[in-house]
Amino acid sequence: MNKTLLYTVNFLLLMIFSACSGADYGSKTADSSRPFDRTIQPAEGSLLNLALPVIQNFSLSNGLEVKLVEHHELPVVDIRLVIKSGSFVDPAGKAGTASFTADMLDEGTTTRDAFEIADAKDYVGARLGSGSGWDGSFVTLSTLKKHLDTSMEIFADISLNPTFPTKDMEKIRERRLTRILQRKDQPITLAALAFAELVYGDSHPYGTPTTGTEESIKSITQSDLKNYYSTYYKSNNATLIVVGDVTESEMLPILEKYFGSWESGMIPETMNYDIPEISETAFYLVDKPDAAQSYLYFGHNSISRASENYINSVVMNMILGGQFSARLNLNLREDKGYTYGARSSFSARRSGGSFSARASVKTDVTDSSIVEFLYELRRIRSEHVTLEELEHAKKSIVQRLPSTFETPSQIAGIIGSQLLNDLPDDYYSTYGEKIQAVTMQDVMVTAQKLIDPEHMTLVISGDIAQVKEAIESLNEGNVNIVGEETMPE
Amino acid sequence: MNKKLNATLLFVLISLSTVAVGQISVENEMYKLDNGLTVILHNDSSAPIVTVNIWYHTGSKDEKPGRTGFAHLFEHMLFQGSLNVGDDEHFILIQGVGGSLNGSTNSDRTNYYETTPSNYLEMLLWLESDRMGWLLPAMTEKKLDNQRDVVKNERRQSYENRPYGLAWENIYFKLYPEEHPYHWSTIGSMEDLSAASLDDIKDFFQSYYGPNNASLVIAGDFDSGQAKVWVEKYFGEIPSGPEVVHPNPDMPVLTEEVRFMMEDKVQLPRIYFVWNSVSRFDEDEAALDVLGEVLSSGKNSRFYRAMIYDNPIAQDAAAFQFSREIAGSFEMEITATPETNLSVIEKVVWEEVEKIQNELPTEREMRRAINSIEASFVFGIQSIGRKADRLNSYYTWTGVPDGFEKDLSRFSNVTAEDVQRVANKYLDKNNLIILSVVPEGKPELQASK
Repeated sequence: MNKTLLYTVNFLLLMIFSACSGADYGSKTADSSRPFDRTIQPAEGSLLNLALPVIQNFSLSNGLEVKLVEHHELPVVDIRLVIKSGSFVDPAGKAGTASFTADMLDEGTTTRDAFEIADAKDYVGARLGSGSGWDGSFVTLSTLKKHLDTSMEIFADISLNPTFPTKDMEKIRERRLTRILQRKDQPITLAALAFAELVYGDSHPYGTPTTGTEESIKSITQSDLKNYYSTYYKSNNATLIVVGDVTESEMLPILEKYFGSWESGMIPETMNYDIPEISETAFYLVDKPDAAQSYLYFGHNSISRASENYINSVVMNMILGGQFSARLNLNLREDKGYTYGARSSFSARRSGGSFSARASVKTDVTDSSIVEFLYELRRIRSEHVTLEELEHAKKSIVQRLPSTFETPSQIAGIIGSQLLNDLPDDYYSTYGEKIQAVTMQDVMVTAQKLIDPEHMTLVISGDIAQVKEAIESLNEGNVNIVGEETMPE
Repeated sequence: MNKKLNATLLFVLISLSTVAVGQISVENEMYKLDNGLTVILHNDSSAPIVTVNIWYHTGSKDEKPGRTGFAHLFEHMLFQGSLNVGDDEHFILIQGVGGSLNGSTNSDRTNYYETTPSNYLEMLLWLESDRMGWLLPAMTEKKLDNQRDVVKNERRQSYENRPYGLAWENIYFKLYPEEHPYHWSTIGSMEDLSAASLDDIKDFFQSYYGPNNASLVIAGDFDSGQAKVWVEKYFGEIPSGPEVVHPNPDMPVLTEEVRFMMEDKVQLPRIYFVWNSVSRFDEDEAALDVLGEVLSSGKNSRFYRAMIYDNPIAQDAAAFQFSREIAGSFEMEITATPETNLSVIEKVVWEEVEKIQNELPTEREMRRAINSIEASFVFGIQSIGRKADRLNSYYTWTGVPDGFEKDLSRFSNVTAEDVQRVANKYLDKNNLIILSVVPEGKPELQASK
């Protein structure tokens, strides 16, 4: 890699708080027979410089913005077209429109049918994908560099010339409806859907899954898809991200050829929605008779990605339930053996978000597991975390960065997410310092602000006959049953 | 240290035609310690991270009767501390420096791997060597009971409480006779997990976890000279274990059709077809992989056209070769659309099988399949974690870590005639397992003879 293209972030700050101790490995010796003390953990090696990807910005003649990162390790190129609109702007009553639209892109274009598209990309071994999230829609391509031009042509064709053919649309609709039916097989999905509906209600987009409901998918017409596409898939509402074994001068003519005449358009403003107040903590049971485990999904509405509390929330959650060595897992798995794993997370989106804590636990310890969850959620609000926990979490977050920027598709994904959340290109160059500035007091105050066990929605999918009484006797909240008829389909 | 000893990733693509065959090489340095530990070093300085990946050549195949699931339970115990490493400290130390780590067990091998910023390499070697050499002093009944509960919850979560979660376990009960080590699943039975004792831990550790039964890959941004000094320092004094002998019964062969049915809490019926085929790196393996691609990969595959698009009777359809060390199987897993009788699916499957047995796949089908497999070789070495695991895999099964090019050439050389030949040789209409999994209370949806 060309060093002049890289700027570096010094890890010095991070190392000051090293949790490691012990001998100086500086006295290296080739004499391996020399006795040494195995009880002493080796110290870390010398400080590292992380070269963050350098983003080169340029635009095409139609104004379409391009973000390019050179990555010359392998002759591979990853391209990601990011449309800055996703499921959040699905029309009312038509949940699933953005996702259905993205799903249909490779089902037919003005010059190719679905089989010709698949044949062309498989023939060069390219990987082509499309999809949508709450805040964006995506078309992705991974290709060997030697097939870049062929692959780009197909990628541009499905991005710019989709026709949403009726016959293929009906087939995709059937498959999507069947997948919706299959949600009933998955206790985790059932709990997550019930949670979203209970927390956000049915008038807020977050209350309904991005893939839609049986009713909404049945109601979506071809013109709904065409409308969504022609409203949001516009050059001024999109960015192309290119990461791989290429340079700006190589890419510019190719991108210009395929994307240079893509039109712009007027993008409607995004609406705001109210979120229902949760007056008190309550349990909601989803019945899965004879289930061997109960799936617990606890939480509430929470911050958006732009929140000033975001950085504090990352550190606090890392201590609470962000990884294996966090409190929830060490308690429920490694100490009690109730589960194969317990975690918590914030899902911080552009227009809001949620906090949740989750685990699959053995049916007969459902009540005991609830007690432990609530204990940990309350403890992090009422007591300072230890200095050791705090430093463990911070180091864990910051030093993970080199691994998260390893491959072209990882880098393209991170840039895409920065883009949808209005974060600057150099966001990660100051991220470490911000994480390091979080104090024990910040963690406790943030927990008090962002975790509220007394106004929480506690969804449990499991065998109601075996768990209901025990949950009631905890006296932690009313116990409701979520029936089939109130379940999102 | 001589820079020339520092292996580097070398990647050369030579175009032989418009759809080229690649040439791919992952340079490495391999040597053995006196105690038999194989060490493989691969330098890749494209990111400031390092991976340590250890394979122990043991898995559920080596389990004793009455102790199914033990190799995997044992893997869990390796995260519970060793003489100089506290309970859970392995996870805490590695995650505490931003690292990621895990382990996994299958029938033939158990792997342990961690990736951290590269300035923690010495700590990783200290941690791995401590559990390779000094695990037993840290083992207690309490830790064993705790992980027994965790693994039982893993069985509940990933098998019993998962839709179709018990299908494969029941298929292998029937595909392999009771005395064959692939008869039982890696997760094991609840009773056998309950029976596992500290004595079993001691026996298994002494039999299978010696350095002579392991290979250590270090990959990433590190200095090879320094790494060799550390490897000798931390692993050199661990004594060799006994020579390991793995069970190696004859390749089992079904001599009849075995058809059965299970009811499950699922919405859609699903059907499985399983034939005895070949073990890993057998000369027919690559052709069987391509057969699976032609039948079920992508929209132009035979199954997509026949069952999902033209006449939509299936929600998804997959066909693939599953190779293990001493045996393998060719498998199909097809989920029907709601209320579709699985006999309807079966009929189409046999039509497609006969078609590929009687007519050569087209040149275009062959190129699509082979080019997709070739591209996946390149995509598959983008992360050092996956690359390290591949090096260990090639070493364990073939003795040569850099097996990429040789492996790839197997696929490049597969012909349409090979695909037709293996379809005839292995997809025998009379000797196979057919399992129908149907929604509870709907046995009429099963595929009946």
